[in-house]
Amino acid sequence: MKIQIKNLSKTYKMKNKTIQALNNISYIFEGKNFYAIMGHSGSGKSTLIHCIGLLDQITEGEILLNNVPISTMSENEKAHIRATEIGFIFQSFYLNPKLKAYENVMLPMYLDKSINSTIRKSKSLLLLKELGLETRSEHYPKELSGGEQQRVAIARALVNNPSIILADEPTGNLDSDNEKYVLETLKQLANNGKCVIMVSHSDIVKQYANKILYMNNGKLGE
Amino acid sequence: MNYLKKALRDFVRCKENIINVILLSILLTLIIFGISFRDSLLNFWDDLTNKSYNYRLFLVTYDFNNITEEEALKKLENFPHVVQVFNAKGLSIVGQALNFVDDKHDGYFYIFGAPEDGLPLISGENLKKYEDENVLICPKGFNPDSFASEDNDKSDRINMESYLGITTDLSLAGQQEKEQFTIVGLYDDDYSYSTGEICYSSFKTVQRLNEKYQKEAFESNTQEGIEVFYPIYFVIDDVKNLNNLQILLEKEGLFPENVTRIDSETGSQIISILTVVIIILFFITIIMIIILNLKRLDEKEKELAINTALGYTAKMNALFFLYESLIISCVSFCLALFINIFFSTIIKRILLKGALYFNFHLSINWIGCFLAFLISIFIPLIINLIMLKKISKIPIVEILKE
Ligand SMILES: Nc1ncnc2c1ncn2[C@@H]1O[C@H](COP(=O)(O)OP(=O)(O)OP(=O)(O)O)[C@@H](O)[C@H]1O
Ligand SMILES: [Mg+2]
Repeated sequence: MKIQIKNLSKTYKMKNKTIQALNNISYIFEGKNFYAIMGHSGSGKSTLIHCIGLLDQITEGEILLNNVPISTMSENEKAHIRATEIGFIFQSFYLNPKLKAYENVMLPMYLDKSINSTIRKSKSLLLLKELGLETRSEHYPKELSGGEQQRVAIARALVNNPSIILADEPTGNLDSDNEKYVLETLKQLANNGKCVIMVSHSDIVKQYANKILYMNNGKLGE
Repeated sequence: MNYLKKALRDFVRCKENIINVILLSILLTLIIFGISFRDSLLNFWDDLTNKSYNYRLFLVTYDFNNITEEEALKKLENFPHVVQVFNAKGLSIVGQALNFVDDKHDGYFYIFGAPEDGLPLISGENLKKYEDENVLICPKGFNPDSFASEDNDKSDRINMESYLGITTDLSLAGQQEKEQFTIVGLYDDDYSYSTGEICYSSFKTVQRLNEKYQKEAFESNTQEGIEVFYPIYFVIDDVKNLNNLQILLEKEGLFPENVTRIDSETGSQIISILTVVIIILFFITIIMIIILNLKRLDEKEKELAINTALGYTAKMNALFFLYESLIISCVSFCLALFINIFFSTIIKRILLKGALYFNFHLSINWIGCFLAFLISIFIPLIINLIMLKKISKIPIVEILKE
């Protein structure tokens, strides 16, 4: 999967001023890479992740996913790409509190009608097992630690085998042991061919990512 | 995707839904009960006027100086909805049933003149066959006692079922002479205002008996300088618009009056109040459902935003939302129906049993149920359609930043 960003700008129009969250960014993200985006607060990291993840509208420029410009995609096509090609991991996990761990992992699988429910369940249990949560699959999010919740969220992001992993400060709420675990997992995914883009404030990420990018005032640089 | 299964799971696991269901089911219960009660009341009054001869019997006064009795009788006979006309001689006579005298009953009862087929019989035959014969139609619970009163014990009444077809000796208007009467039919005393001391015979029979045993009592006479006249009587069919009939009669100089007064004024007031209450309840329920859905959308916003990030379309999110709304509605409706069935059974069994003279049948009105079902299904549907727009415009990015 290739993510091609061409002259991307994103501005927020306020009453008396405009905020330039992304300023004329051009870059190409490719598979089998672990990108770490660093930068101070307000520099536009989350905005970039949301634009790549097809969640936010862009103001100027273009993003091409495997050479398809996203401006030509309908909302349904975007949703389909989010479901099949993109896996999101958030800082605050964003698990559904009313669903058990394995049910949270199953959520994205409902979108693929060809998978029946037994396969869905066994697949999510397998993923949780791989992430060391074999005994926690029946737990609700509130019964899990932060690190465990984030691993459930990672399983959920991976369950449809996406080629892009977008992680916005996924270790922000975790202690260093859990942070290392998450980073190791992401590195593994990149090694297996996925394009992993991760936003982070912490310097440890430099030991895991193979491309470090810096954002400053809406501009992206190496 | 199995929306329904998923929505059911979400419904069961969401504790707020218990409150939603309780609130909604209370409102739906009130609607169903209100409509049922209103309908039962209407039926009750209808039954009263249709089935009860007493409520269809009127007496007529008129200016005796202008209209003679014959003229008044003639006028009435040709009036629409009037099925039978007779003078005071045909109204009633007091009899004493000697076979029924015991330590609780002195045998005295009234024989009323009745139209040929106007009595709601529960067994036996109507008067049509016995135009001028000595026959009686008795109440199922007979109470031949001159002290019979409204508050007497129903258990004092004689069950007449085994007496159907028998012949009994009567003395009439306190005279010595006896005549034989055959009991040919029984009527349901629950539907009449009687306390079990009224039997019926044909007008002709009553008229004949009055002429034979107390003729002099009916002659217009002068008592202490005042001339006494007797009113005439008529029976109407089950006409609904009594007021109209009354106005028409009054134009002819005939002033009708119910022999047994029915309190239709209070009745129609209760009905109007109930109607207004039901309409208000309808609106409250609709507003409730709207508020409930808006509140739920508020609570679910985050979940929907995350689902969107996971690849759900706005339509899928809306469908999820809709299914859960419909489940809430259906469960509330079923609960409301259950509560109604439960309570109306209790009311029937306990409160209404023996409390009223007349059979007030409280039954669940299916139109009410259907209406309640409609609002609990269609309002969420419409609201969710409107919400589809709102759902597709959820500010996902803003919510995910929180
Ligand atoms: N909805 C919005 N309306 C106006 N301005 C916005 C909006 N969302 C973001 N911004 C602005 O855009 C800029 C980039 O925000 P963004 O969330 O991408 O920063 P960030 O790099 O992720 O910061 P942090 O490290 O604190 O998460 C900020 O200056 C922010 O104030
Ligand atoms: Mg951010």
